[in-house]
Amino acid sequence: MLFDRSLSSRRDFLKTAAAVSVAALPIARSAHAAGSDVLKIGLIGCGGRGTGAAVNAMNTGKDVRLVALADLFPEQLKNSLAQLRQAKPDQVAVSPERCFIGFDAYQKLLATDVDVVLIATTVHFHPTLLTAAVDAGKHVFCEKAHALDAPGIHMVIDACAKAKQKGLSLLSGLCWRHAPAVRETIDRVHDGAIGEIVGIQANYCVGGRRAYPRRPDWTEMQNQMLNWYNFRWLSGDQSSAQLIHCLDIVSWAMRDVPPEKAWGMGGRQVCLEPRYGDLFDHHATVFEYANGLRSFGFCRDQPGCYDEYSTVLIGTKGRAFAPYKCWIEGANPWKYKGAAGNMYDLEHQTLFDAIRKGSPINSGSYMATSSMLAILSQMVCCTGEQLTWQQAMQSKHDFRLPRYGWDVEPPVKPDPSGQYPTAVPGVTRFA
Amino acid sequence: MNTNSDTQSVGGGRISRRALLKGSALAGAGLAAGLHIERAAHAAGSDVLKVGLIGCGDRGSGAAVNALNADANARLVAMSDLFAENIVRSRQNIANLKGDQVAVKDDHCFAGFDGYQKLLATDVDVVLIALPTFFHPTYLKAAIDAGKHVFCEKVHAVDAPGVRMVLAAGEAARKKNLSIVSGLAWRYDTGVRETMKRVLDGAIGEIVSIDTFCNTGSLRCRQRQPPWTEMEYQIRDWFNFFWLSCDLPGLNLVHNLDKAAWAMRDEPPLRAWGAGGRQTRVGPQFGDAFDHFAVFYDYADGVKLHAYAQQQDGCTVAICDHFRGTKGRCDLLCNRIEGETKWHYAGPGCNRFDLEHVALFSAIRSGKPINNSLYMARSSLLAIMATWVCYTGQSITWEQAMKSNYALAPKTLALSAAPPTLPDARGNYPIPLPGVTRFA
Repeated sequence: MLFDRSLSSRRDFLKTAAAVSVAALPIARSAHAAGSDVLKIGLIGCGGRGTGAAVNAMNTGKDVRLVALADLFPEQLKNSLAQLRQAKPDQVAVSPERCFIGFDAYQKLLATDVDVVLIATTVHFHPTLLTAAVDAGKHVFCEKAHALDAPGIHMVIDACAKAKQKGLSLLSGLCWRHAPAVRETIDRVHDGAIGEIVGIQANYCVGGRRAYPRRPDWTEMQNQMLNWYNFRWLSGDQSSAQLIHCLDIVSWAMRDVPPEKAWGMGGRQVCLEPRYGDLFDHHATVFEYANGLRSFGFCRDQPGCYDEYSTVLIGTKGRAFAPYKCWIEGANPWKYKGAAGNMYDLEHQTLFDAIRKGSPINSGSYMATSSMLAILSQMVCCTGEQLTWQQAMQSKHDFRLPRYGWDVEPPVKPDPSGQYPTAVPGVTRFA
Repeated sequence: MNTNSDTQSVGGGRISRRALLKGSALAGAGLAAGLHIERAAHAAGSDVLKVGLIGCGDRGSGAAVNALNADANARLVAMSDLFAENIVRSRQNIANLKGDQVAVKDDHCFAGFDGYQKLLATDVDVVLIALPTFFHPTYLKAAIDAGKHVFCEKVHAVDAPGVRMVLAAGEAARKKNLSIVSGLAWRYDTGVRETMKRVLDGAIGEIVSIDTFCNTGSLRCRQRQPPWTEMEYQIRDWFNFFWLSCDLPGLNLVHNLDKAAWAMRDEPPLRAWGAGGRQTRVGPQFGDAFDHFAVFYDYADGVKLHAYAQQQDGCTVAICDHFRGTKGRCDLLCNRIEGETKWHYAGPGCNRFDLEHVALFSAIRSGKPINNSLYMARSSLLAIMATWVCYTGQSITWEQAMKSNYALAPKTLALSAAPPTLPDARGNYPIPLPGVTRFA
């Protein structure tokens, strides 16, 4: 059985990975500064986003070669490889012995001579993989969200600092930071086009969350891993899966200074079937910044409802709107008329250019903060409590398991009718 | 009255408001001729004003005390309620506080669904209306038709046909020189008025954004008693049934929406959208009410209104109205203005519930009628929109809401009749499902 592997703890993984690769790597990295060498990339997490990220990476230049893949599931890896071979026949050179399956697959991939790793797994694993990749001396692209709990956020902060020390590039998949229209909007806001910001809406209301009915042959762990969007311990919730994009734009506008506190409301009103796991289907979070400014984070993934995906910055002299259409109204009206650009390609262009030039890029100034905003949203909506940023950052609640394997019992289990317990504000307590 | 509200049929039919009004309309016709003279007579200020109370629950009893506090020559002379024991209890409670000003004889106590009609047929000058919201527009209209001055508790309607009745009643009152004062009490709070006056005079510049919250603990539930019919249970536990209360936006958030509307000079928004649900108050004892609402309103000039309401125990309590302007901001409940203008109300406190009655009785005495019907109708519609956008998950325009003919009502008003929502075999009531429930 492919899945039947005994696994040691994450900490052991990290130790091994770090020991294997650290010594030789800084030299290998500097070699790329010349710009002539091939950049070998490894993909960890071969789902839709990971596969897309690999294409984006290879779009940045013919010198990028995909040489290794890792995933929990062999079918997913196989499908991804087939798609990638078709999309980039000249740049995919993945031999069967560089296809790694299972919970320890990423360790094996990191032990190869890849230069850059793309991380796009179930969010639960991101901080662990990010840490391991930096320890292994790899440049990293890491999809959002970057963590689901405060201990994970601290791992991200540490990994970013370590990457800096090691001269490694580390780029976040918070992609709107690379969209030309949004960049110009935020630049204008920072330049005072809307005056002082006095109100913010961060709206991510889009219908229908992907959820697969459980198959009888799946173990509970398989079910949850395949259906990971629907479990808080694996995906966060919609705050981390989607709203984070708007929260990231808000944080950017706020110069990445975190709010003082937050509170919120949410619930599960429509997505009640077992396949929807233990998630809420709507959240309304109020982030309160130092000057009394409020940012309203609002997300919903109920099907058949009004959809709104927007960030609205309300200023004393006007309003700025992003990200799909970017414009400013008020005293300094403006509309973005430049090329849309493909932000996914652009973010990888930024990363690979940085690697080729030997001038490392690092998203540490925002990726932990923006991920924490999403975590805070989940914390306050699930508990009904008002929490300060500090309280949230000091939380010891850790979704990681002591051990991973298909035989491991997941931390959330269905009741006899197949339903998973959801949070109850006022009863569920912050930890 | 609006013909739409007479002819519509929802879920197989609804009670005709016209039928409900027939009796009182006749009574009103009989009285109408003499009334203008009678009203004018009070201008002298020394005559006794006879007050009738329709709805003898806590708020109604409180309103009666406020009215008697407001005018020493006001006398409570008639009372009506759906339930006789409420009248008995309320009469005693009010008498304990206001002694001589309470002179309600047994033959001026009217119980039952037609009690209000009997009360309106007496010679009271002023009626105080404070019932489950469902009854408000009908009773308001009947009272104006009967030539009475009116104090009417909020919220003033649970649906758009009701809102249109309020507007029509307001128009009729104007023609008859009758006063209508709303129970949206913040409009009469001294500190809030002083603060709002400055906001409207431009102390914070143009308003660009409003945050308003009414997040509290769980509201009360009345436990079902064995002899009660389903109708009686729902009416007694009306907080928890949408058709009677318009849910939390009608019960609580309307005060916040009304203050926001006031700051917006009672101009309506373009639209609203939002999300809500019930996450902690689940089970038959909570009727069909949601326990949280988050609603955004968009105004024509780009102003955004963010309105939240919650009734959940053990959660964050947040009650405030913050207006953000181009030149500063206002914390309305703290009576404070910051920014280019710095100001803080330092005057004495007040009892806004007394003051709204002071305004009413002064208007009657001075012969200069007061009429709150426009904002009563509009602020009520804001609350109705809040409920509907959260129930349906849709964005709803002001125009759509105003034109709506949707109304949820029993076919017959009797304790033995079926209410418009019924529990399933396990006692659970159907709950709105955003994306499935439709706004009609």
